[in-house]
Amino acid sequence: MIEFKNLTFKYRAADENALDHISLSLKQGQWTSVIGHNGSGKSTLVKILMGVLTSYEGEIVVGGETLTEENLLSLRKNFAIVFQNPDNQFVGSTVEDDVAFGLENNGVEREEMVERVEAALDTVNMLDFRTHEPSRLSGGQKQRVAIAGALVMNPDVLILDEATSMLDPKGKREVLESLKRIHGMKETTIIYITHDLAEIDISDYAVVMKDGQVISQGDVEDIYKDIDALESSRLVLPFTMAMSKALSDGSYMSYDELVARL
Amino acid sequence: MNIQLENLVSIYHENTPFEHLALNNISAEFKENTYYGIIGHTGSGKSTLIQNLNGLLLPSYGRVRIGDITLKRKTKQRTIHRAKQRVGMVFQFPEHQLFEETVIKDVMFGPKNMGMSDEEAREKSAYYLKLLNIQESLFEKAPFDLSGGQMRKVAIAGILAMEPKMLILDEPTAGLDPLSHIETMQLFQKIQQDMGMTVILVTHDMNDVYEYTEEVKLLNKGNMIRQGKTEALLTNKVLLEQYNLEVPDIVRLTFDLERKGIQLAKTPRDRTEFIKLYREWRDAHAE
Repeated sequence: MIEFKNLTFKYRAADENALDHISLSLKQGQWTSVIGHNGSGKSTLVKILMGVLTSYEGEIVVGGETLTEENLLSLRKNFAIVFQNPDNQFVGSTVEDDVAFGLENNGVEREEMVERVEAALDTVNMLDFRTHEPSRLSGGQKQRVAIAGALVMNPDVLILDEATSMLDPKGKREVLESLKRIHGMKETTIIYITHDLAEIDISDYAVVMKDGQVISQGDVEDIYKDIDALESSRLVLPFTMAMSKALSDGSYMSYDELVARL
Repeated sequence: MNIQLENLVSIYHENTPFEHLALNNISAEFKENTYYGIIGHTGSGKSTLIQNLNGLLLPSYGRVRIGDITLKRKTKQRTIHRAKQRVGMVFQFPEHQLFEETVIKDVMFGPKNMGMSDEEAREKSAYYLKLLNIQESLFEKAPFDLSGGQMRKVAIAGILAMEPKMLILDEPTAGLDPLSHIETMQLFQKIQQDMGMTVILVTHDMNDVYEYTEEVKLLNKGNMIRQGKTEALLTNKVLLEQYNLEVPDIVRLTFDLERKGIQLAKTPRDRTEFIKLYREWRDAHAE
């Protein structure tokens, strides 16, 4: 469990708080989507959790322990993160070298390393590409390799910071499929940062942020119900929702349901 | 000013073991005051094509005519420089290219480089910054103190201030949130219409291509597969599926309703038009 208690943060040059008295608790094994417009504070939240930004007010509790400068490194070992740009996160010359990087750094035995790399690549459906060069993969494939590189460390918490925002629709689907599989297999807590409302429907829980504040949180269905709150948060309704709002009863529905209703 | 591609061939690493044919004998035309989309899968040659349109790459064979300028295999630097002034390019994440101390200086860099006086460059820069809703109070700030969206607008103003005849947009909305995405696309549409400019949009987002462009060119593996009106090509489901491209949301929904027996008066071009046409159909078929 990760708890944010009354978290406030302000960047040095800024007039307004980037995070303004945020309180949240994320359950172990839960897939939480954090959604908000550019500048809503969602990435700041991740940076604080990862220890990149430290001078905040309030408290972060990870597994019952309050995050401090002393225990930051040891607690953070349980976290893994995948970033937005698929081209900025590779170190290895082949896919398997890249995924093995973290394990090599930690001095894991060769045999175990091979096993874990294989398992991680298998989970994201990239085992066939193990000897390929990362730079020659498609965006979706690159992000899946990046997820495998995170997963291989057996993190308790997997954070995806707009990991699909630079991908084409096919790449997005591939990444989301991989995450679904991980969510089904493991007890990993997933924190999924996004600005795309269409992407939160597969998560268990959603948090909506606007101007540094949490304006609503709850089960995804409840979040979808409050269309006015979503629209006033600089979010854009996904296609099916917009059509449902204009032409049907405005409830959240799948594309097939929409076609059936019209 | 039109751009003409005549039997354009582009080969990377020619005469080496890494030789790769990126564009295979392409002939095409980009007319004045038209909004084009270039579509095709990753590796289809889209990027190579647009780099040939402003002299970032020179043809291996064939030629590119930009008005009265001709680019060929061995065109001189001075001519290439003139081509670059005519065709402005907005790359992915243009804000990464900001470098000056202040917003206004950054926008003035291009025009001054083209030989404009300080005063003239400042005037043009101020005009385009204001056009993009960057207020005068921000002109003397460091570009890096602005928000991401504002930085992107400053970078775009820097390109517009050179007053190119044609604007190429390479995935201009990558990484933007959906609302900024819409604002950016509407901005380019306004620029295209107000300035009567030719705009070429390169993107994977088939919804944008369908909603904003008038003409489409479809590339696959370095070949020009099809050129034509956007509404003709992007409603051709068989063609799109054959080349692994997404059917635009509106088109997909219109077709799926047709299968249910709901025949709209025409295939709508955007959400608003869809809603209007669907309501008309519903009213006409009300008991």
